[in-house]
Amino acid sequence: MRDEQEACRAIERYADTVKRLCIIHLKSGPDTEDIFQNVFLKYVLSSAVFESEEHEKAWVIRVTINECKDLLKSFFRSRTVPLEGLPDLPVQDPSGGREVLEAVLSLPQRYRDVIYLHYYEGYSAVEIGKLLSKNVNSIYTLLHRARTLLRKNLGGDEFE
Amino acid sequence: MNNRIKDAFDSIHAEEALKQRAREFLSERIQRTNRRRSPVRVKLTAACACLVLLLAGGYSFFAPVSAISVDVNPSVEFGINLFDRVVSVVGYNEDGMALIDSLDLKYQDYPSALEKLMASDRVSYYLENDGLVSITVLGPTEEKSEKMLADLFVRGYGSTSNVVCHSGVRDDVEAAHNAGFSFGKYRAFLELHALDSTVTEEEARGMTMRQIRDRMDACSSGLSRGKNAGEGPGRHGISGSASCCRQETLPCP
Repeated sequence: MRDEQEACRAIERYADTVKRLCIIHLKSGPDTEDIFQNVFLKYVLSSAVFESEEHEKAWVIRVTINECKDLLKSFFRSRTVPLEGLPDLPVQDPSGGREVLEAVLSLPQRYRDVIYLHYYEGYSAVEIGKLLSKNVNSIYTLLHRARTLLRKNLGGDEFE
Repeated sequence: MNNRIKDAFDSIHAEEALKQRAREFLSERIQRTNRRRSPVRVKLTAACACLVLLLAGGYSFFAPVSAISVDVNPSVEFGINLFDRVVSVVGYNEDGMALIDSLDLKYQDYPSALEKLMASDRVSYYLENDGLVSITVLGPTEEKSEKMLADLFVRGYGSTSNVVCHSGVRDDVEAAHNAGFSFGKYRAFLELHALDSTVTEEEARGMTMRQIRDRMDACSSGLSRGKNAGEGPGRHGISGSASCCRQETLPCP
C-alpha cells in the first residue's frame, strides 16, 4: 500500500488526465468525482511496481477507462437518467476549443478514447491497441472513422 | 487541426476542490486502513505474550524446585520441578553414575522414579546385603519438604530398618555439591563429623551409608570403628577409631 505522500504526488500528476477521461466517458459531475476517487484509491492500494512514468501513466489511463466503463455498465446507472446534460466544459474560448470538445464528445463512445489517446496523449495506434487490449487494425479503423466524423462535424480536412 | 483537439483538451483541468476532496478521501482511507492494521500489532503483542508465557512455562517445567538424594553406596540426586517431575538426575560417585546410566528416570513423577531406582539391581543388591538406603528430601519450603517426606512414608519407605528418610537442609546443598557429595550423604557426613572430627570429606566420600551409620553408632556407643566395621557390602574398608561420640543415630521422621 502506498502512503499519503505518494497519493498526493499521483493526484498532482494525473488529476487532469483522469478528469479528461471522465469527461470523455461520463456526463455527470458526481460520477467524475466517484471515478476520480476510485482511481486514486486503486493507485494507493495497488502493489504494482512501475518501471517508468510512462508505465505509471498508462496504468492510470487503463484503470480510469475501466472504472468509467464499469460505472456505465452498473445496474443503477443502466436504469436511471442523469439530470445533467453535458459535463462542465470550459467556457467558450476564442480558439473554438469548446466546439472541438463538443464535437469529440458527440462521437460514439468507441471513437472518443482513440481520439483522445492519439491526438492528446500522443500514443500510436500500436500503443493504443496495447492499452485498450484491441487489435491494432481495429484502432486504425476507429481512428479513421472518428476522423471522418469529426471532419464532417467540424468541416475542413485538417484531421489527418 | 490536430492542435485544436490538443488545445481543446488542454483547457480541461481538474479543479483544485476536486483534487482536495480526493486528497482528503485518500488520507482518511489510508488512516483507516492503518488503524485497521493495528489489530495485527495487538495480535503480535498477544503472540509475544504467549511466547513469554510459553518460555516461562518451559522454564518452570525444567527448573528444579525440589530435590531428593538417594544414598546407599550409589549416591544419586533427583532435581524435581514444580509439577513433581524429575527434571535432572545426577550421580555423585561412580556407582551412582553407573546406576543412572542404566535407568531412564527423567520426566517421570518422583515417586515412580524413586520406585524404579529402589527396584534396580544395584540398589536391591545393597538392600539384600544389609546396606543402608538414605533418602533425603528437600522442598522449596518446609511444608513441601514435610509433605514429600510424608508421601514417602505413605509409600512404605522408612518402614524397614535399612531405609531411612530425612529432610535436608537447603543451606548445605551448595557446600555438599562443592565437596562432591549429594546433599543427603553430606548431611550424614556432617553428623558423623560432629561425632568424629577426624573423619575427612575424602574418607566419607569412599564410605557407604551403612559404613557411615555404623561409624556413627560406634562413636555414640564409644566403641572403636574397627570393631563395628564388618561384613556385607556396606561394611568394608573402614579403619581408624572413633575419637568423639556426641550424638545419637540419624533421626528417622
